[in-house]
Amino acid sequence: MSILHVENLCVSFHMPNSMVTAVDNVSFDIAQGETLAIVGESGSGKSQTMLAVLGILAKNGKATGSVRFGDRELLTMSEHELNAVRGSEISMIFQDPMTSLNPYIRIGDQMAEVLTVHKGQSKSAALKECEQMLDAVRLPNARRVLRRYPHELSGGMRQRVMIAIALLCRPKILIADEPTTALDVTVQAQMLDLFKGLTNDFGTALVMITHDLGVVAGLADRMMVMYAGRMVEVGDVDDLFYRPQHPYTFGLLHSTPHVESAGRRLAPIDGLPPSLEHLPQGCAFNPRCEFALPECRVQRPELRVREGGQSCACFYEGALIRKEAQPA
Amino acid sequence: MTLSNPTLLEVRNLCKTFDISAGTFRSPMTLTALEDINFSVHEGETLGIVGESGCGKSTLGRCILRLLDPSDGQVLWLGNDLTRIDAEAMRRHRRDLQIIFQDPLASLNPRLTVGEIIADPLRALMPELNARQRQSRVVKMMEAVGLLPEMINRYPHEFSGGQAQRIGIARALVTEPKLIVCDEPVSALDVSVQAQILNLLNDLKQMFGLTLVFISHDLSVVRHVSDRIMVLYLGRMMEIAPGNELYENPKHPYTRALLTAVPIPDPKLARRRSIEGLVGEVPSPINPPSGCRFRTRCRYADAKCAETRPELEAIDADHRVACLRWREIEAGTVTPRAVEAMV
Repeated sequence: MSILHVENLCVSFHMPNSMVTAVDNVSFDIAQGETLAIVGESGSGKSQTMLAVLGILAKNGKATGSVRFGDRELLTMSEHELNAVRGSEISMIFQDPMTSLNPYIRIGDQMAEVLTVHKGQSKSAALKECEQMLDAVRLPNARRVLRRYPHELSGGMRQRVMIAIALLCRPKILIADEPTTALDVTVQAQMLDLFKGLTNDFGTALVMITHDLGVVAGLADRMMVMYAGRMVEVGDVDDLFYRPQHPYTFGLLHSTPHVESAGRRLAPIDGLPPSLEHLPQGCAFNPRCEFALPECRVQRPELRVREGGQSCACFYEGALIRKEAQPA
Repeated sequence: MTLSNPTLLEVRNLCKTFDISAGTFRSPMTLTALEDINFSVHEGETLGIVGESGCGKSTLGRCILRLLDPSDGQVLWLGNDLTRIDAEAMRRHRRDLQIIFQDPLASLNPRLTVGEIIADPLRALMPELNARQRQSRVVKMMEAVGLLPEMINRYPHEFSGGQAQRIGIARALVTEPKLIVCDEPVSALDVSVQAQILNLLNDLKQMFGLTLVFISHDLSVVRHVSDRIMVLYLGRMMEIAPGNELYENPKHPYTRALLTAVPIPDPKLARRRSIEGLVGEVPSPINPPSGCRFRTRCRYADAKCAETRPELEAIDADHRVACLRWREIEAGTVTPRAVEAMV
């Protein structure tokens, strides 16, 4: 059952001399309890898409289209109504756990505030629930952690606190923006494990924004690949990993080094991601695409359902077979 | 193949400590960043150095180049001890020893043009070259790293992260060094660009006959580029072995745990595998655990591990491990503690 329905979402930013479109006509659904990964490189619009959903774009940003959460439209909601949704029904955690916590306030007070504000609970009841939640995110000595200040905790512990805060109101959707990028691999593995457990235990839908395909593979049910503000491919994780249909998805998979690829030459995507201010005509990926057809340089491909089940925005429908990589 | 090559660099019993102020009226504390590091680097090979943050990887890279002065031990470059020579003598070695940094834009002077940035090491280290010779070397290096020579008068802010890293690489290469320390050279880059830079480093290594010390926290990247790999934990060497050997036949419990924690970009494998997870995080190097540094997170640690410091033990010619119990672990005669018991 779909709980969030995003349709034709566009996000643009007023720059001194121009308008820049960071998210261009993005539509997707999130079903209850599922994990959706949004994958893309920097500037692909993956974070801006979700910031727009929560109405927390930068001041010069503007979102159009429709974001329906249940039967409510989020884009036209007043700030006051949105505040009731944010943090309570949809919550978000960010990449850097240090800058997301207030350094002057004890962990317990920061956490309890969520419950006193959103649920009207008393401070002591709130603290008790916070302690349980810290246990749920497997932070040892929860009671003592409540008395600590953020700088007294390590990066992994802070990220657990952030997750606990985000889950306090039992949100229907948890948005995690690169939640493990700043962490070491061993701590990252603990976090991914934790996310898996929590989405099961709480029935929360998880939107994982990431550039790391390794993280996606272990965690997500579905994934959506973005490039230069547009969706290029979306579908089940297995379909996209084993049978990618968009040349960009294909290229990403082949340029990711993994433990088995030792000594083999990587097949990177040529060139650089385009600047959003000077997008090429037609498909934004065409200058870097080895399968580009003449129409790719003129017309922009729309997202269409392919045979495999996933949707893909590409004119090329032949097999994706790499040009022979030069021997190392 | 590379082990038979001559040794370029040898590090012996290297230690590095930092004094940390504990407050105005207290005596300073000592942070041990590196302890008793021993290894050598052979001509033409890539030595990978991995470990979690705070384990001493970058400090080691800097001690090799004497950007930091080691507290104890020797760094032998072609037999000369770099820790005992004066600054002027060190300068003569600097053209052979270069470094590439993690943050490509932060490591370039924003007020200099690309040409000036790349020519800088030549000015400082090879003053015998005249302006024309410098210019032609700079252009040659720009072409080698895939920058267009007409970009020579541009400033760093006009470049993307990947291109800025190419400038950093050109600057490191311009004195035609023998050894380059790459300190997390691709961590700040996007995936598609990261692959380009990794391939570029590989090409340049062949083209200029380079030897690389490649520091990274990303085990997939290290595996991809390295001939041999050294695993550091809290300033000590845990294991060192040829890349394939280390990944297929790891002996140290820490190496094993690190390897199982690497995310696999393959959904079916990722779902199937079980993570031999590590509990907690790296302890503070100011007050590290006694005995084996890893014992507080090790599922096989016993009382002996708290008392005795494991020495690096040679398993075969080029595989060394510092663990008291690796034989028992290998034989399966010890049962690991449950993760829950350790929290």
